[in-house]
Amino acid sequence: MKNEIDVYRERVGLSQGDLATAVGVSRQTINAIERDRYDPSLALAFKLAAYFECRIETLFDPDIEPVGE
Amino acid sequence: MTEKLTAKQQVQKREQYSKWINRSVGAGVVSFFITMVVWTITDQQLVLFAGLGLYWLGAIGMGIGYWYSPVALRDEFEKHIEWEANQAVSAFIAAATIIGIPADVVLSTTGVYTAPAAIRGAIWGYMLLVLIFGAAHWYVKGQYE
Repeated sequence: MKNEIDVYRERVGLSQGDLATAVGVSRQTINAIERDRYDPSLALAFKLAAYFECRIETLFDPDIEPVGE
Repeated sequence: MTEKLTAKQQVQKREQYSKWINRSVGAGVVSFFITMVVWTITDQQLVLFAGLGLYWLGAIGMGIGYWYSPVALRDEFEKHIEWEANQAVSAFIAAATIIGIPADVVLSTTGVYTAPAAIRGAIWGYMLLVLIFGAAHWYVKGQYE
């Protein structure tokens, strides 16, 4: 899933480790998310959005197929 | 009432308990190897049992660490990696069971080929694991219903 984590993180001058500590995961987790290698859980996605004080859909682009009719 | 940990405290606790667990397991394993060396010199069976006891103590320490840790010791990405590795192992076990069991039955019954006991034991052991997996799957599914 494409995301803007690295943009938001660098904007506030944080390292991956700093952000990881701030949201309670390992640095490797943040690295994998930023490189689109791992899609975070809903809980972690909400934590990241809360940390950067933005909406979750601003941070993540799920690129899903159209739903409904 | 348990106080809710902040994200930073969760990371600190995870590191702290992981360190304790690793030390406990490490001490157990090192003790076991040391007592093996001592046993080769002294030839005293008691030393071997002492080594086994220390190794088990290390394992118990690991269990206590996991049990009392206030946070999960692996974060969600680490759990995801384990899940993927489990998928690979499960696929291997399923393939070995599906292909191996009928082949072993036919080949050994007809006398064409009898695989070494270790291979046959492994294949039939895998089948046992498949049955255990089925039971665990049924149980866990029931928890969601």
